[in-house]
Amino acid sequence: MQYNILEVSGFPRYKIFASLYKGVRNHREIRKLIASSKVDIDIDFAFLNADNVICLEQLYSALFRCFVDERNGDMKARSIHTEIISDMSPLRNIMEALSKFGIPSKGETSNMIVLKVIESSEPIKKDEVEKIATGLDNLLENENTGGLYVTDANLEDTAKPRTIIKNYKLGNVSEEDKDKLIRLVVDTIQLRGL
Amino acid sequence: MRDEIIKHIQSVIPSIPLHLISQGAEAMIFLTDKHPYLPKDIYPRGLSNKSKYVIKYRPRKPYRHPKLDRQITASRTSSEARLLHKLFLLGVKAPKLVAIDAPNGLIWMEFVGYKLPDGKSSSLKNWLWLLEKESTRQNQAALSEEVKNCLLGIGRLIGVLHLNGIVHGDLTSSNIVLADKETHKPSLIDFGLSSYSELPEDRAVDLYVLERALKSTHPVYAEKYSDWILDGYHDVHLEDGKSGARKYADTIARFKEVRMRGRKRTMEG
Repeated sequence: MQYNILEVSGFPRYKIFASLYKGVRNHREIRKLIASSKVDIDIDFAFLNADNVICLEQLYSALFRCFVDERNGDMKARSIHTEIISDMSPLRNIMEALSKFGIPSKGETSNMIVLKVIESSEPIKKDEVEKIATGLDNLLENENTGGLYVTDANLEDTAKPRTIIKNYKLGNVSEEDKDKLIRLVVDTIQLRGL
Repeated sequence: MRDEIIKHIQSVIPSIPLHLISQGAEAMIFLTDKHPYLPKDIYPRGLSNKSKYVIKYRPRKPYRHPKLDRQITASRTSSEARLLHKLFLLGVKAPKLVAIDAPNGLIWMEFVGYKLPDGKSSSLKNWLWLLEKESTRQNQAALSEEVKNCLLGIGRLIGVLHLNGIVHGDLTSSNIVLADKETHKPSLIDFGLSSYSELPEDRAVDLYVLERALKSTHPVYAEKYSDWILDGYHDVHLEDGKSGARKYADTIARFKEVRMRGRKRTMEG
């Protein structure tokens, strides 16, 4: 059970729980679970397809964008977690963003980054975080590894640069040129819809 | 007035230390050592300076209707940010985009430049002034090979901009900055007045404004400086083939006209 708590410096009233789940087998069921409104467990998370995420800077950039829009009253989605998924994508259409950047619909297994925004200016209590992490471990079935830390090294393992170039419509950028790729992705997130 | 504006920006971005470095009619420029969203232990990728950022802030205009003001601010801010992105795609050296909050008129970008030996920032103006001061009859530091290469590079930079249908709108030796201590590689900054244009007139005015700016800030050497810049400008156009050569010819023809009459066209008959 590994996770991190992210903070965006300009927005101290938010704490973001983050964990990386590899080899999840029941992603399709979770999709259905979210679609059906009757659930008694906590599934209020932003589930991101890890294929599209190359580094932490990209995640932070989308969080920043989301919080800026929220503060300015410019949120497009109804919940902050959907807003984050749509902010991760260059797409204007939220449904399209969810299908490409949210929980994958294909594949036997999938890698996902799970985020949960918690409104709290104080550091979150340990037992509260543990509860979230345990809940997630029970919800997502993988090889009993549970969640991993969201670090650049771990993300580099799960990222698919080819998919990123395609989904972000970056044209002919070299997969090898990580610096350029990351700058373009960050630019795209910052400029989406403007 | 200024204190009020600074108070407002600090309410939008709390806990970020700000250092005002310049103020224009439209925007204020701040320096900060804090990234807008990354924690201290994570460095942004692909930026030359990872501990210093520039914040460009377009304050509210109290004389405009608030709704309209917000729209105008947002659209100017986002178009400048989009332009920075475009320049990055084109490979034109300019500050890279870090973050944007359009409705509040805020852009965070990469800090470009370094400190010159006299402690001043490395704008082309400051660099040339320093070299001009060092210059003697025997040793013309201001006309060295280094300066020549730098100015040729600047001409090329402006050429690439123009070849891609972008005009800078405010070319002066303060809006050109040396990005690298060793190579003196130039970078353009301040795209607040930039626009897309395919008119020879707009490109010619760009060149003319720079020529005039050089004449007034570097009177002794301006002619040589302008020549080198125009050489670089010429070369990069020719490398673009026939269409580049044609574009160059159109621009220069118009440039000569503009020189005769000045930046503004007369409004007669």
